[in-house]
Amino acid sequence: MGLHAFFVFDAFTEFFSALTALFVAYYSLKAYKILDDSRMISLNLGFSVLGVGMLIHGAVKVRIALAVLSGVAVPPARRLPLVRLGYTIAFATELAAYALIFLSTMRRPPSTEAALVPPLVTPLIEYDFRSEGLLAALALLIAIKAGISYAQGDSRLAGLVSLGFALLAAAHLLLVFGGPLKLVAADVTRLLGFACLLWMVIRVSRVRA
Amino acid sequence: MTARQRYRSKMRICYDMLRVIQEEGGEAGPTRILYGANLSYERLKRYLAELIEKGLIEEVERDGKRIYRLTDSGRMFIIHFRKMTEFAKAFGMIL
Repeated sequence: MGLHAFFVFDAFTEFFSALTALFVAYYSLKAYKILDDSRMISLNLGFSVLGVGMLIHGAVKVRIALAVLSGVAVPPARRLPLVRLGYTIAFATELAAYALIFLSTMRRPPSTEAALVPPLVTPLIEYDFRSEGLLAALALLIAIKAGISYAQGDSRLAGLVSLGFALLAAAHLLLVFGGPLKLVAADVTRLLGFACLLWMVIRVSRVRA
Repeated sequence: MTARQRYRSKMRICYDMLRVIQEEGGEAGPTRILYGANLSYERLKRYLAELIEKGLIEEVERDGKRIYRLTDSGRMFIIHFRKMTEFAKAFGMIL
């Protein structure tokens, strides 16, 4: 895959992921109105934050892609302040979103667990193991929680959520190891993860009485 | 059964009442709803009034007896409630 194609694909996956996250957020809000369960607000907030963060990151990627396509000499991505800003926003929003989504799946979000999140925040280094590893761990926790629900037979759709977040965790880990091929693999993995969440919402919309 | 599982939200109680009426073929008397939705008489009266006010059921008289009939809005509420319950369960949430 050429550099131009990679930037376009990278931006496309970011926007697809963002729109899917916002779609899930919209469904969470609908669920709150009908079920009157406050955990749905946390879920809505989590996916909204995730979607907005990805939209901003996607816009940054489009800006870089346009620069590359117009032939402007672009320094290595990690040295660009715009890329660092985009990553910082994406990291902060993803961290907050995953924590909110995980806590929303608890029966009662315990204050002790909520308090554990800030000390876990490590110094932010782009595409570093600590940053991406933390996001992968949180995504994996959500995948495990949904996976348990699926294994217990509570919901078949929980399997899609579990697979989706497991793929998101894998995508974060793939970013750590760098290399152009791994970056493409991370993008594809994340795309598949959000496709699972989108498929879950589509399946929910087909539920009949 | 835990305390959390025993607790039913107001919307859940409304859904249970509507489900009982639906299972009875779209019409049910107050006693059937009371037992089916596991409610006290006072709560039954309060929730029936609320469901009528929201247009989810309507009260009709038949052979001198009061019965409650599910409206189209009530049927839609049941569908939406089931969809959103599935959505919540997909994230491992116990309702």
